[in-house]
Amino acid sequence: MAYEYRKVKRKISLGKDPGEKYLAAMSVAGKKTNADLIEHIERNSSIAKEDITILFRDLAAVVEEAVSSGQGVKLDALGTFSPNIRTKSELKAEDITTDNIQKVVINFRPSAELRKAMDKAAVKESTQNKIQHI
Amino acid sequence: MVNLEPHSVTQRFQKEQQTIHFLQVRKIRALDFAQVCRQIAHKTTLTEGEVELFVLTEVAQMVVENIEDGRGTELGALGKVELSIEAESRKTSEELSLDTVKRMKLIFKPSPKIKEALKESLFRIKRDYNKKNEE
Repeated sequence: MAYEYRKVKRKISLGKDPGEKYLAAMSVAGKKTNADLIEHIERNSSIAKEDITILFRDLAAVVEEAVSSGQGVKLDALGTFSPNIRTKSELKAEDITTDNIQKVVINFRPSAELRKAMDKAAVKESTQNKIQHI
Repeated sequence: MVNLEPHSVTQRFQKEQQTIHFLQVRKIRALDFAQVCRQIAHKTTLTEGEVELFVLTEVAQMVVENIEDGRGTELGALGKVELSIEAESRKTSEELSLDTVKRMKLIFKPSPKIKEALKESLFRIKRDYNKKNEE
């Protein structure tokens, strides 16, 4: 199935030629919910729904604990979750303080398998013609 | 403990080269798949094999199938992964075409509980960094 993209208008402030520009943005075909995922796993394994829910909760706890300690988590077939910080930069190194740190985030790097699935997918323009401002 | 280290990069900003400085998390060895499966197996009645084969591998397989269908996937208490694209901008909408789409991306959005834990770790990171610099 081909992915669809839609046209959006956005104010670009960086680069050689800043200003209002147009670019392509993903038109998402929806998503599979937790219930769909749990049902899928239950169907393909001998594990009960309740155990799968607990398992996801424990997986989240493992990732949360690792990331809060500055450690990444590598889930081979899925990808790697790594902690990072969003910071404000300074022109002089001596001006950097903890006040520059705005947020702690988790960077996700998809596995080779997931990247291959994305590379294989075709992209086409959405039938929605209205240009969105974002 | 999260260790921070200073980084710098030289970039072009409004037609001028400038060097900017910022803090980043010091990279340490990640928890690997086997370690994650072991930790989860210890907390549940499942074996490591069950955790590995039936859940994490099945989850990845489902995410792959959903990618092929152009869909994102919710991952329980962990959060969700959503599809996006990286694209070049143009001055007019008529100039937009498939050629401006550079690549597909998969973005991870943590669950509210994990976001809350990240907010709390922000406070600890700042405290630990200040303490380390005072020593």
